[in-house]
Amino acid sequence: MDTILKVSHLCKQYSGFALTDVSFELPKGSIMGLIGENGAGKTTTIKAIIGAVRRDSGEISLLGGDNTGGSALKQDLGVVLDDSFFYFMLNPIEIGRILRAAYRNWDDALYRSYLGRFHLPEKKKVKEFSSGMRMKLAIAAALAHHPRLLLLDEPTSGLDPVVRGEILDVFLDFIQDEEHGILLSSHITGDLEKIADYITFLHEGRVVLSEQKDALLERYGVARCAEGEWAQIDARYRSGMRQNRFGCEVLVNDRRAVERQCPGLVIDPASLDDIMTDTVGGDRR
Amino acid sequence: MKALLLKDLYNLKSYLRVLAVMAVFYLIFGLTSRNSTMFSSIIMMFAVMLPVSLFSYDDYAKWDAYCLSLPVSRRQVVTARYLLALLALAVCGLLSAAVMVVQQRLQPDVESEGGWYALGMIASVAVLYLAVALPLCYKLGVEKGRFLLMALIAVPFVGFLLLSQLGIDPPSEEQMLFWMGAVLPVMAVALLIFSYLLSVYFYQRKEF
Repeated sequence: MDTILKVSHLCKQYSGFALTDVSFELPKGSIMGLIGENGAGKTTTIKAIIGAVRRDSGEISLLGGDNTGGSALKQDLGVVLDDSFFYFMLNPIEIGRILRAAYRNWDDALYRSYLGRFHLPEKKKVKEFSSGMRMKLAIAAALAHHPRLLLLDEPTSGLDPVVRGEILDVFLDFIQDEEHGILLSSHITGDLEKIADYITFLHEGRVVLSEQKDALLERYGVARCAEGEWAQIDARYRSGMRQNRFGCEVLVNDRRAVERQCPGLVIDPASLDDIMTDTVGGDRR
Repeated sequence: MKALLLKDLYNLKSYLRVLAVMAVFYLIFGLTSRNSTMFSSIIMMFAVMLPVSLFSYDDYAKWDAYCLSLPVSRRQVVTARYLLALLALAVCGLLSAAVMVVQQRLQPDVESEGGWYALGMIASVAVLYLAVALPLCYKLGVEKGRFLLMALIAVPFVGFLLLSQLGIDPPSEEQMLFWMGAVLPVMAVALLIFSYLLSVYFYQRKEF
């Protein structure tokens, strides 16, 4: 597998939280969605990849080199961080000039075309932008230097559904090039279901699963049963459970096997949302 | 590096406008009060304040984490800040010199013999303050750094006060000339170099 980003056994300790043994690989030409609840470690992982936080142990390689191996690698890297906006007193033109000085491959015509496409006024100060507009600006800035790898932390949060669809199309265009890759963290699991090829699920600083999205959605299911009935499902197929008014929902990790084992049970395909909420929010039994 | 300098210059645009107005005010004030060193003292203080303010802008925009995604090294980030500080000092120094020349022409009767000497001394003190302020900001953040810098500004005054209380004679004019004219600039430059290395050390270890 030709990988564009590889994280191996990444560990980072903070006083109230830790990333523990985080490992995943992003193959070239694919999009990996990083999902997890607030505080799961998604942003910390992305910051560790760019070197904004120093890892305690583990290895990170991107674009063919170690992530501590010098800033030249970052010519081909585009990053959008959730809590990082540009200076409020600058306008998109000035930001473009700054980034043109930073990137060898900065394409001003492309940048201006994204500004136009995203309806961003070129001479207006960033402080007058809405949060959605700032996010679109960050995305335009991340794409305009023809990067090969995109690291995006919640890039579609704050965007209305129409614009989100547009942005997702931009990412799909980007990934047409087989030498490109995208790692994108998001709460909006619907977006990831649309465009992701791989899903890595982080929970409390650990990787719960990291696999192909289609295989994942094929495997997982939600079995709806009455209270007490869940016990008939083999324990190794039970990944999580949630009680509700009508009984309980059991997240099963092998739908076909459970269907064979318990023929009368109603098992629906699981969405990424189900996988996330039933694993995290429910009980694991 | 050019990108970092450009970013700071763009950010200073509105700040510089305010400083320009204040500079004109102090220029007029200095001329009318027939004080030859007032303008240079104030303007050199601006040169120290400028790079420190840039830290606030960076913090507010949460620039540092994003900046590390750019093809710039942490060392380059620090170098750009010091370069800008030196640029500010150079511009303010030139401006002070120009004003001093003009004032000498316009008001030849005003005491100005020590003017150039005083300018050199003020510049050295400004470099000293920068050399202390920048690593403080890198290590402690801009708020604590600024607070400590204000406290440090009081040190020479407190020092002289203590010396006079203790009955120690103030240094003679010759001694002062030697210390201020020869030792101080050398000390200032040496301290600035050490300050740069310390800032790089702090910034390499910082997390965002």
